Amino acid sequence: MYRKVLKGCFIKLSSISTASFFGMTREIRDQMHRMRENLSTFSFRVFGHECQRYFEVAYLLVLPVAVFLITTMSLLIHGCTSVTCTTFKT
Amino acid sequence: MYFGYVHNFQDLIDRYGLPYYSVRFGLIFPLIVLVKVFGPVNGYLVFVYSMFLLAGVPLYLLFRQRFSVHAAILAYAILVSSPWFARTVFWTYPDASAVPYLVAAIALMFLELEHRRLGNFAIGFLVAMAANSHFFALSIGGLSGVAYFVYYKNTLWVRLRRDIPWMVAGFGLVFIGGMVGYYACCHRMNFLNSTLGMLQWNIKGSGSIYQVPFLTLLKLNHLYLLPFLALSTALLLRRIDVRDRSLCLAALTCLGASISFYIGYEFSTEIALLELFYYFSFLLVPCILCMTLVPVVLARAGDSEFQILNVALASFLLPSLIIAHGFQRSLENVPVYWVWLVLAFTLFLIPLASRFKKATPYVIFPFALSVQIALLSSSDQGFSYYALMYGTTDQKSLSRYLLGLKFIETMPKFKDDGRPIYFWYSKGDKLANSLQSTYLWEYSRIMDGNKATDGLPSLAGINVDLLRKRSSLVLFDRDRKIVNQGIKELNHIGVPFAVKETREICEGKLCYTIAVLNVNANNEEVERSWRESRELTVALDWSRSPEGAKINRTEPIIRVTTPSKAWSYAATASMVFSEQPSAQHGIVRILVSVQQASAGVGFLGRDERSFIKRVDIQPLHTPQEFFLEFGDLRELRKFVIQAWNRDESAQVQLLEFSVRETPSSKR
Repeated sequence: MYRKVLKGCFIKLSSISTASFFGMTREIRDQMHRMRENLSTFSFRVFGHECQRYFEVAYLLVLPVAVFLITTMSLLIHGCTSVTCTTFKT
Repeated sequence: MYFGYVHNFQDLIDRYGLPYYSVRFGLIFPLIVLVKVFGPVNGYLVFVYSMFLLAGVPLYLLFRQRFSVHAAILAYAILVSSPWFARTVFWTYPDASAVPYLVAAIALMFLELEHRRLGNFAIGFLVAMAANSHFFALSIGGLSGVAYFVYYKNTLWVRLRRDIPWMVAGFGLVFIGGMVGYYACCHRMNFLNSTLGMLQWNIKGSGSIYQVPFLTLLKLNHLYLLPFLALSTALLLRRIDVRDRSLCLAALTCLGASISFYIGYEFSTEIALLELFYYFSFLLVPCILCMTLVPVVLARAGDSEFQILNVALASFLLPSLIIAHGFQRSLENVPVYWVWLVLAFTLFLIPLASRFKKATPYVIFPFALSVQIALLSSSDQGFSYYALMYGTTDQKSLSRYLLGLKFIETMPKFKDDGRPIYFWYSKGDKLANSLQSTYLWEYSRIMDGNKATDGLPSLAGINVDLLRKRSSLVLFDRDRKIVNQGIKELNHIGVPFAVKETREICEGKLCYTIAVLNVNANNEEVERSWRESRELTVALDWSRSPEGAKINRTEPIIRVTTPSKAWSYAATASMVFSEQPSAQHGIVRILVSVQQASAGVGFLGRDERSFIKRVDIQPLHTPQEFFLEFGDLRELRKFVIQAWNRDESAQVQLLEFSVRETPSSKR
């Protein structure tokens, strides 16, 4: 499965580089057009549907951790170490 | 308290039986398993993480199926970044698991799954797990049924026939699992008795002690979020696309039913619901749907759906991440009328947005801001406190957590010495209070809850009767001198004890000195006082025995069989003095024989509801003598014999009962 995904991503990336080096064929132009549409809807869709599924899984797994890390950093930057700021004075 | 059950389950069960805290296995059992597998710190983090995924993934799938991937991403981001959800999940209280279970259940309810039977089974399973985390969750789970009826109204009977048996199967399996689990660990099948007793106590209005005045309630900014979300969703219903209407209507009715239930229940039973966070948090279940549906539906009605969803994503993430967690203190003093203004302004914009498509993106940001401001500016400590819960794994909080583990390790186990454990510590030290709460607060501290006391090392306001029992007494403080002073005070009042162990537990900069004393039963001092006191004639006028109890009044011995339900009264007698005590101070002597199980004897005060003094008596083959001292004998109204903390029947024989008043010079 992962080979298929990598292949899909590779074809799309290589088509972009091919177009930039050798001029755009009609097919590539159409593909680029579709990609621009995808880009306008959401940036992660640039790699097509196989990658999208993996992106979704990664998003679900990573977002709580990311929010957790950002807020912890934010608290530390503001000199406040979580609950010690308010209730449990030591 | 639940931290105590997670790390010290068997000892607490041995000591206190099955109080209602211990049967909240929806929270306790998963945490025990994760802590055993991943260790105490990582296990807790894995639990929190899995609760995020449990609530978030079904919600994501629902919005992905009903709307689009972009809407699903927004729904998940709103949930994860919400301080409401953070406050719910980031503490070891039953709503930490109950709310995610319910969010998952309600999302699955609207999902058209390929494996429908499995989905329905999961819904029943999740609602039962929520109910066994906190019994109140059952009412919210039941109210979600209103949304189910509205959503599937056209195919209701077919759905009911198809879905309900599988939901019931999932629901039943959890309860059967609970019965088997509690039988395996605690030799008890019926684990719901104590919970139902607590529920009865609440319905009677006893929970009114936690209620705040109505005017204070009106100052809680976060409460205005409820009508705001209901009105926002209602305003969209008129112009909504037909395909989205059923879900919006279902979410709205669920929210409306939940709000009505809260208000109706709060004012009819006089229980505190809206003012307590662990009840308010359950409203997240219908609110999260409305909170997400409003921007998603607005985006669909707008010119560019995906761009508007991007704006919504940024609007929800940025304020919560930057304002809430970075500059949270700046929101602490937002007056309630500012919140009204923001909410009213947004409510004014929503109909405009549904009429003029170009205005839609301009409504999204005020909507997100309204939600966050109402939550984070609440005058109640809850949100400002729990918004910060995301950062609880910093070094200091982690130190407290690890200190709690060391504290539990230091304590003797009940199965080793069979001694009840009591704690004496400084009442002003909140962390000490948290540490002792791992042994269920009121169950184990010698400081009398009805009296003003500073705690260790002052003897004022402590329950001296507990010091006359054979027990383990634990003195602990950050200052070793305070602990030593406490030991001296005990010596001074003649408490016979041997120091079993003195240990210092440290974690980071936090250190506590802990002294574990083996206290032996001794009534020498009070016996002397008893001999020098004047006897009063008192008659016990026994009332009819309650259901499940037996009383045999063959004078002079009263034989009582306590009901087999924990804490139930077995016998109540009015105390009739032949003459009014002239002196206030006095002693009651009870000679009692208890067999088969522990029993409690105590005295009710003037209100005839709350105990002035109560002691538990362990079963022994020989009669036991108790001396109970009272500051004012005139306050004694009723004498009570009751079952103690287990669902076991005890045989109690009251052999002697006498009262003496102490001359003022002997106090």
